[in-house]
Amino acid sequence: MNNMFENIIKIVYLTPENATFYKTGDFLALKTNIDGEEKDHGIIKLRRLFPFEELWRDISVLTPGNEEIGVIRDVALFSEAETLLRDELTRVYFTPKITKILSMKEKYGFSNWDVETDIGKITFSVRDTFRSVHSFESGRVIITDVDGSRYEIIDASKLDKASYRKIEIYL
Amino acid sequence: MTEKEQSLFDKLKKDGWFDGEEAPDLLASFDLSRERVTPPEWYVSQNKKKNKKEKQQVPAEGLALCEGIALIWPDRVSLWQNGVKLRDVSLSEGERLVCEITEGSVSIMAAKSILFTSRMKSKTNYYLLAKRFADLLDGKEEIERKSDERSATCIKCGRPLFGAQGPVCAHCRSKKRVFKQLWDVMKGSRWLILFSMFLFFAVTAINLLAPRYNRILVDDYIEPRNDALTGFIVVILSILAVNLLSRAVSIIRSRILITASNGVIIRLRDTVFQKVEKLSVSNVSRHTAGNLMHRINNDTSVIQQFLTNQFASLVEQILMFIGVGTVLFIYDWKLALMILGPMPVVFFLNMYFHKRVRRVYRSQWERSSRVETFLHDIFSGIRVVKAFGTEERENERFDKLAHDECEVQIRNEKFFAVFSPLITFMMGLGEILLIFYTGYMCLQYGMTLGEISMFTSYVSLIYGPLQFFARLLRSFTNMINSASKVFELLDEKVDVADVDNAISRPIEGTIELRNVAFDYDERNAVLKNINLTVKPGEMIGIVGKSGVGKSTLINLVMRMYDVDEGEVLIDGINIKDYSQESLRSQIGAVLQETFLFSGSIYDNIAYAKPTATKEEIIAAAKLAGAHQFIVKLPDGYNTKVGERGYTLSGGERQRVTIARALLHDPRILILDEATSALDTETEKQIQDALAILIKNRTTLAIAHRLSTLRNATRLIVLAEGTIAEEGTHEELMAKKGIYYELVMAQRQMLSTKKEN
Repeated sequence: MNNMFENIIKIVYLTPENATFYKTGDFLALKTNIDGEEKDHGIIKLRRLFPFEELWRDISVLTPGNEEIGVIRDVALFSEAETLLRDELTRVYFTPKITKILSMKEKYGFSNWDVETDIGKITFSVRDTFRSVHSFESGRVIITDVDGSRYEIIDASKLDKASYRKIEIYL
Repeated sequence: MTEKEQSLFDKLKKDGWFDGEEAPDLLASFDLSRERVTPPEWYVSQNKKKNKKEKQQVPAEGLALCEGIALIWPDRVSLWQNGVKLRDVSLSEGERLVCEITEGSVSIMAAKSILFTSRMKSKTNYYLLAKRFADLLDGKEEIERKSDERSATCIKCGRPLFGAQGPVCAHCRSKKRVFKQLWDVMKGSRWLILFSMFLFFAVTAINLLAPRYNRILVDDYIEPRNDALTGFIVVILSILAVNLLSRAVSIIRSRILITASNGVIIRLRDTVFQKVEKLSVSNVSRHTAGNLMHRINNDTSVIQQFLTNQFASLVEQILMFIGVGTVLFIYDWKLALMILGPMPVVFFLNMYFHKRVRRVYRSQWERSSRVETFLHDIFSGIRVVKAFGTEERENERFDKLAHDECEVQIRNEKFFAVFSPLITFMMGLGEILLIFYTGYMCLQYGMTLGEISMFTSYVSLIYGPLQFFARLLRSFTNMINSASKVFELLDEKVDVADVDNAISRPIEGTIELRNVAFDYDERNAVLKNINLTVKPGEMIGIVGKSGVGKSTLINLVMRMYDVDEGEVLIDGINIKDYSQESLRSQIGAVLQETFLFSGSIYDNIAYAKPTATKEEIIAAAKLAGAHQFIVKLPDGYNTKVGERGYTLSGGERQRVTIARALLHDPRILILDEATSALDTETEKQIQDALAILIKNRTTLAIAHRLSTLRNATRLIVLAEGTIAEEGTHEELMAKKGIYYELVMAQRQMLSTKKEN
């Protein structure tokens, strides 16, 4: 990859060779060995750098004080710790996946949604629907409700016709 | 010398004003009577100029403005009024003309007696004139063209041209030209439009058949009580078929026309938008954002509405009118004359009120544009409004503007509320005549019922066009008004334009400024006689007090404005010869105003290089110190910023803009207070990173915090529009000049802060 800043600034990429993720209690922790320097960072935080676009790639690993330790290019690189990382990310970015839209009515700038998700039926309200529904080329749709909670449709084109018709104009 | 000046000189010479002598150095129009305001008209003789421009005939109205004319030679002044010489004033040896400027007028005096006075409409013109005259009296020969463009006036009415192209202003722009431009815009959709016109013929022809069948129906079947059922059904079916056919063709025609007119409008909008983007910063700053948006959105849609609704009907109605008119004349010319009788009256009424209607629409346009400008202003400055708690005052201002607009609209509607029924009534007169005539013919000469029915049908057909023409004035005037506003913008002369065969080449980064002078409004020179050479890879720090022209200097290097005098060279080539795109794509700038577009942080950084990989974007953000705060945001690089988005702090915004400039990978980097909103520590981090990055790149940096410039190869100190000092930090400190004082003042401030 041609990176014009290569010689100027170094981004630490975490790989199975230089990083070991492990669990302490309910939390994820990290040990690194970067440039021969071994360090146990203890509990760490995971942050998606592009949460709308990349679910399992470009993950920033931070200390509890929000200092970046490094970036994971792709969780799939970590064959052993992959499940740990996926679980942690799923926990941090908890988003119900919408499987069916039962009703969606818009009135006076607000819309009320009645949906079925992987965790059951949910009712929520969205302010300024056109701006709160983000759709992506992959078909992924993210909806942010009035409280800032997120809901996700993994692939809008795979929804049943009746559901799709309800959100079609917002995509 | 402008073409206008040239031809004025030519005309004066032909008329024997100079008595075969050498043309005067300066020619000025003035106002001897001091009673009326004369638009400033100053002309410089061409014998001082090298570049003669092509001659262009100026209509006689151009001269009518110059009631009083002063011809000025080095040793004498000759004053004329209305073609009659008033007096000759000889200047004795060593005596000089003096230019005295008072509020609203400029007087030229010799030996303390006023020779002539010229009054100005606007302040800008007034200063412009004064400066120009003063320069001439000083024996300064070169007068910049820019001055002429700014002060140019319309040859028809004498109003300032405000940068409009061509010799006439928007007021005097002829409708013909608007039509021509409209026709030009239709390029590409013309065939579709012509085809839909052909369909109009078809529809009209079909429609003309219907009344004939009516007559057959009445005369052959209904009135004689004919019970030949087959024939009767055939006629009924024919009427149905004609109707169906007419509707079907209409549908096809409408669909084609809508496609065509939308195509035209999309092209027009694109053209207008491209034009606005092409305009220079100073061009654009002459308009308000609201005004520009009004033109791109509202005016183009007015034109679209006209093209889709009225233009379609216009052709149809004209054809219908001609068709039905001809048929009527063939059947009974007397009847036709009676029906068309009121037409000329209606026509003249329309002509008579046209000017008034146009004026009303113009003021309506102006008012609604003002409302839009106001709204745009308030919404973008809502923080200021809130901070000063002036909501109530703004409410009142808005209320007033809205009322103003409403008032004009009411006036307009009131006028049409009288005008339209009046016209309709006039048209209705024809109908009464028709009833009278057909009744009379029926009673006296046995006109058949079928014929009466046919005539009535034709008349109802011809009333369609007539009523349409009565309403046309309104929509037509509105459209012409909007079209001329749009074309006025399209016609605007671009201040900073690419030359023919502008070059695009990779630049190395040598910047050279030779005798550069620049001012924004002719009043005060911002920069005077600037000479500076920057080698590739050098970092030049520009320091100086506020308002001394530091940002102006870099604006000139970026060619946001063209220099008034001298030249700016990059790699030894005048920047005017580069294509602007090539030039600016190689200059990266972090400006004082940190502007982020609405979109994600990612979009904003990638703006400079849409092909950048995520890795590059992260690296650029990290280099600019932005990555550190981005990872803390819940949406990371996908965080929405700009309007309505997550509000970044001043420092955060600045770091995003730095990342954007870095990703641009420019040959010349311009930093205008790029790190001013950062704390000293973050600034130092970024400075260190920048120090590596700017190696081999030419950098121009402006900073008030002088420590920011510690990496600079050289520093230049601007004072009173010139380079007062130049050298390294040490050299300048040793010199104990302006820079020394600035440094000392800052140190003192810092130590006072520490003490506190």
